[in-house]
Amino acid sequence: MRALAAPALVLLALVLSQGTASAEYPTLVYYVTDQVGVLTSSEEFDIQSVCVEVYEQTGAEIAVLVVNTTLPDGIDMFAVKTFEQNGLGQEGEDDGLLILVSVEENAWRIEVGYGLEGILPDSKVGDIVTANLVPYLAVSDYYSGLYYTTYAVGLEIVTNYSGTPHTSESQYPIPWIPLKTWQLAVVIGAIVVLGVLTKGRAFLLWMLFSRNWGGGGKNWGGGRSGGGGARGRW
Amino acid sequence: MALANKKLYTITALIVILAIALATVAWLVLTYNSLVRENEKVDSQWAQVQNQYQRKIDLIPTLVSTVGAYQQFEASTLTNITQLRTQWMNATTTEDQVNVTNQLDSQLATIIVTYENYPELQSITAVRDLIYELTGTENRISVERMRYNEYVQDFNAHIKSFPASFVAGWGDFEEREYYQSPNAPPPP
Repeated sequence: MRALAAPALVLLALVLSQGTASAEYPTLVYYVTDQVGVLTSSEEFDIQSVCVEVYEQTGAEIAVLVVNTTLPDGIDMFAVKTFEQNGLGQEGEDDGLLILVSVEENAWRIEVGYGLEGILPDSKVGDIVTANLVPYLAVSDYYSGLYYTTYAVGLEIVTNYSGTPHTSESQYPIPWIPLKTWQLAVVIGAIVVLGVLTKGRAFLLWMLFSRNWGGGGKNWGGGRSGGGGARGRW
Repeated sequence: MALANKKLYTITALIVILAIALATVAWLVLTYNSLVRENEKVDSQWAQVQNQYQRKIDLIPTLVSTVGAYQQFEASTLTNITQLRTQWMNATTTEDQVNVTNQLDSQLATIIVTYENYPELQSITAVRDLIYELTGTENRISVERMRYNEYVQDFNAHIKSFPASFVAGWGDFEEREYYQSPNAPPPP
C-alpha cells in the first residue's frame, strides 16, 4: 500500500494541474513570463527590476511575455485577450503595457493600455521597437531586445506619465512573495524540517500546491486596453 | 381558541402572499434594469467603434500628404482614399458609414502591402510612423468591434433566456444586430 502512495500522489498532482491550467490565455504570474525558455532567471530578474521601478514610481504595470505561438488567434487578438484576462494596469487608470514576443511566428506586439495611449502613440512604440527590439531578435538575442525595449518604454512612462506611486511592495525581501523576512524564515524552516522528516516525500506535495501558490505572484490592477500599440515581425 | 387560530393562519397566508408578490416585483424591476443597462452598453460600445472609425478618417490627410511624396504608392489609390473620406463625412446612417469604411479598408490594405514590398520605404521614419498609426488604428477598430459583438451576444442571450424573456417581451426589448465583417463568416 505504501509503495502505491507516491505514484498515486504524482498522478493526483498531474490531474489537478491539468484542471487548473485550463485558462485559454497565459496567466502572468509576475512581470516576466517566459514560456519558451529563452531567458535565464538572472536575465528575467534584470528585466523585472525595470518593471518594478516603473511600477513603484508611477503605478504603471509593464509585463513581458514570451510564447511559442499565438495561433490560432494571431498576435493582435492574443495580446488583447491576455491583457484583458490579466488586467494589466490600475483599474480606472488603465496604465498597463504588454510586451509580447512569439518565437515560432517571429512576431512581436506591444499592447498599450488606454491610459498610456496618450504618451505612447503607436508611432512612438513602433520607433522604440524598431531601435531596441527588432535588431536583437534578428540575431536571437532575446534578452538584449527585451531588456532595452522594457527600459525604453519604462523611461518614456516614468518621464511623461504621472500616475500613483506604489512603494508598498518593497517591504518584502523577495518582492513577488508577500512575506516578511521572519515569515519567510519560518516557511523555509518548515519546508526543510518536513523534507527531512518524510525523507523527501513531502516534496511530492509541493507538486500538488505549486500551481495554486504560483497564482499568488503579482496582483495586477485590473486595467484595460483597446488594441493600441504596434506589431511587427523580424 | 379555534377562531384565534384561524385568524393567525389568515395573517400568515397574507404575509406569505405579500412576500411572494414583493419578491416578484423586485425581480421584475431588477431584470428590467439590467436589460436596460446591457442595452445601453451595446450602444456605448458602438460609439467606441465609431470613435475609432473617426480616428482612421482623421489620419487620411496626413497619409495622403506623406505617402504622396513616394512614387511606389499608386496615385489612384490615394485619390480613392480621399474620395472615400469625403463620402464618409457625408454618410448619415450607420450602414453607410460601415460600407465606406469597409471600402476604405481594402484601399488602405494596398498601401500597407506596398509598404511591406519596398524595404527602402521602411527606413523612412515618416512613412514607417504612419504605417504604425494606420495598423494600430485598424487593430483598435477590430478590438472595439469584437467587444461590441460580445456585448450584443450577452444582451441577446439574456433577453432570450427564461424567465427574463417575459420582461424582455413586456419591455419591448429586441435582439441587437451583430457587426458582420464583409470577409468573415457571421458570428454564431
